[in-house]
Amino acid sequence: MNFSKRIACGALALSLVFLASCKEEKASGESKTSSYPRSETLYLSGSQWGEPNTFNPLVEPWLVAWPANDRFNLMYEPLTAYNSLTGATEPILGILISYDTEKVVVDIQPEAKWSDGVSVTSTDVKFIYELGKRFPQAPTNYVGEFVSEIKVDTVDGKERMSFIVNKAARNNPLAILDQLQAIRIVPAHVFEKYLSDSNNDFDAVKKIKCDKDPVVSGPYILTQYNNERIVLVRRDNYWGNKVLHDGALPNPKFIIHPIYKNNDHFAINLQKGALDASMNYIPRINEKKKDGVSTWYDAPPYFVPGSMHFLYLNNTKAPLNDRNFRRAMAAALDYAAISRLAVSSYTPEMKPGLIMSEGLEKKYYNAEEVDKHSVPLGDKEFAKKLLEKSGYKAVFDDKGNLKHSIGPKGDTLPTLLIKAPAGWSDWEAIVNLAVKQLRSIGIDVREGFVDGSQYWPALPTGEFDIIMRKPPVAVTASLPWNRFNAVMSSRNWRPVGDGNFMNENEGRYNNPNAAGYNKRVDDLLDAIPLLTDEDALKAAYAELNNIFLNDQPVIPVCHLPEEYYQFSTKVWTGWPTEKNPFAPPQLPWVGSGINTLWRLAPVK
Amino acid sequence: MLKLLKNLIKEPMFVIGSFLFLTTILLGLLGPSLYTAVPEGGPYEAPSAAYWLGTDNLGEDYVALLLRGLQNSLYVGFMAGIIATTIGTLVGLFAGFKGGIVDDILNMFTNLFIVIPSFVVLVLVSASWPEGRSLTLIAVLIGFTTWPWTARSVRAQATSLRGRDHISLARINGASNLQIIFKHILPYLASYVFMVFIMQVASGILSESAISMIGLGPIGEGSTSLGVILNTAKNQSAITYGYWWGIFPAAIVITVIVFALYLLNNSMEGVFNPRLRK
Repeated sequence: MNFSKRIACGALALSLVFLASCKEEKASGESKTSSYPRSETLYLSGSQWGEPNTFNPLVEPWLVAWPANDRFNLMYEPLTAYNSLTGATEPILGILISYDTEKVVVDIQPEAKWSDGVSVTSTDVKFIYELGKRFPQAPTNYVGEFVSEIKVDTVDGKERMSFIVNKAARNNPLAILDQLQAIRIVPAHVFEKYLSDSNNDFDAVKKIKCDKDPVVSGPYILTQYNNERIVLVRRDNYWGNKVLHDGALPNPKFIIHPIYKNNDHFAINLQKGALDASMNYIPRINEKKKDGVSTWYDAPPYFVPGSMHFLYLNNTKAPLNDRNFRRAMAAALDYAAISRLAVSSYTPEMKPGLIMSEGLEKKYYNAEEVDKHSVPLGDKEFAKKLLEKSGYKAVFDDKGNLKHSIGPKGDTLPTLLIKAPAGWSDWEAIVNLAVKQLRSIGIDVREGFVDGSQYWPALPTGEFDIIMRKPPVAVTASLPWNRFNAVMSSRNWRPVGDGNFMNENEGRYNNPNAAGYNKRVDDLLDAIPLLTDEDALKAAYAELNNIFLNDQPVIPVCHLPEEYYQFSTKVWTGWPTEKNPFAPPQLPWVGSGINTLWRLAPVK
Repeated sequence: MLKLLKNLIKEPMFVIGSFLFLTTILLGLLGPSLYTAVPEGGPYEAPSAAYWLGTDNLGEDYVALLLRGLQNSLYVGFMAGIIATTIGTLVGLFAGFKGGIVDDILNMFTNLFIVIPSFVVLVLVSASWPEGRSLTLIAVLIGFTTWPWTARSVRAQATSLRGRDHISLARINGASNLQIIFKHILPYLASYVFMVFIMQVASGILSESAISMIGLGPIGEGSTSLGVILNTAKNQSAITYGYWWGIFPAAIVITVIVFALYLLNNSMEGVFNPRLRK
């Protein structure tokens, strides 16, 4: 009979969906015919999700495949690397000589060479830094706002480059320091030739894939790729081996980035030893310890916190435009429960404000000031009283579930949706808990899990009530200034609505055209990058943090690592940890984390 | 009627099926209000005296979650079953009884809906409702995508009844079409429609689980369904971590309900269908 068949089909479909979603992926690196011996190959993953399109470093970074995208130092190198443990700016292609409010001075390493034997010179640096002047669509087009001029002198046989701070525009030497690490130098002689071959058509040059024998300066070079993995091979004549690493070669001969479709694959492959390190969120990492998976710390929080995750509030919409309402929300959340249940205890005890109470930012953290200005975190009674005092009421049904809330004018408040991308399990759990906690004190919020295609556009246009957000604040020399800037700057303030993009302060805090505009916020944000006196800097940060605590434009919910760092010791040992902190807690592909490559040793 | 029931009770399949089904219904109806949830525990605590079936990623007791999930899944199943059976039966009866152009048009519609893969429609519609998908909405969606099978089989039965003598007699006596359909055809099909309904309930529960499994299920306070429980377990990599209590209890509950309904259906078929009657 038809129906039995249908039931059978239904059951089959259900089990297929289930199996498909939890099937174990065969480790692609383990095949016996592989020409990459396991003991010479390092498997790293977490940066490439789809099929690699192009390895052209001049294309928009989000379209470029690993490791030619983003901040990876394996093929194309930046001038310097920031060590997030010590705060030092370490040399790569250049050596930082000095830094002040007028200019940033860098010497070019005279020994640095491209893989075709040509020396790396100031011409290469100027090419990428000044590309925006020639082609406005270049990925480094923002540099002009920060650097007004690049001067080149020769000192002791070395090329000395001075990046002059653009006083008329951003006037921000701190950002120039960040750019030394963010901008990777590309071979000018190669790309100039591409440009002249195409009559200076930049878009034509962007179509070149740069996947066959690219000219690079880094320790590894692309050798093969497909939709399952990207393979890099070691360059034994890398110039930096002699200059930066006392003549040693990095230990892995090959670095393979397997491309996984699903977050589960990272955990499974790490556990099996088919993956050596990954930068993905893996829940409950402590349960993987027995399988040889380790983290920086052996105990919670396991990782070094580097970035804050927030609930961004739409400051233009009632009742979120009420400071007291926002403060009540910040007070009501149970941060300990969020840490324990949603993010596997990966966050240290939450302290209020935008300055972290540990790590390199600790020197700016002023506990006394914070206590004075902040609401008590996790204090529901305080939150309830604050709401009551501000005229908010809540109506509960007889089961104790919230029906709706009433504003100070007696109007029924709208249900506020907390947007988060569907399927991001840690964020979904945070939102689930926040909804439960906020509803219990009478704030009418609901989960709004949406597809990524609806999540990302909602941010710059401001079309949300509340949204989960991790601002793109890298762990760089300019922390915590760049975090304040991302959350509070109204330099580019735009009203909510179509076509109005804002890439910082997406919650539209501190409208410069409104009556209550607090100009001090933007003044402080402008002033901090120019301060060199530590005491003045501390005072400025404290003032800014106090404004944040009083206005609570967004709510920090947890402090998570900027990049997760978990590794397996089944094949490679010698990873940096809390006990052996020779390199920062990063995968050996960004910043000064790359130094780990010279210290890893295969297990015998 | 009584005789039929006696015959049914003689069927061990029927007894087992109805016992299982009544138990699940009772658990679903009364469970959530009788079982007062224990306080929150840690994430994925293993089954213990305090938490009989362990806790989920947010530290909630699985027994409480399963009872609520059962209630909601049954609600969706019944609601979807009622909608699908009503639409399907009406369309099938009219098409089968009227014949001719009405039959052709209704048949075309039915076939159209059969050709469109209902699960895909379900996925697309659910996905376009990102905010506030309620249990009722999911049930209605399922009901509106699964009726064609009912319509087809009811139509076949109705067609075979159309030429019967008592129908012609009723027509000669001046009964209207509606009267004939509801008074003289539907009663003959009642047992069949009931069996169809049972299967629709089962397929409603399965569809809901499948759609929740891929993250398109109901959202909102208290709308945990069995599929949502499985979906959470999947998202939290419960299998990779070996948290069997996150998956098996919910999967077993789904299996038991569907199996019970299947047993009921099969045993009824054996009794109601003269050809299969022992």
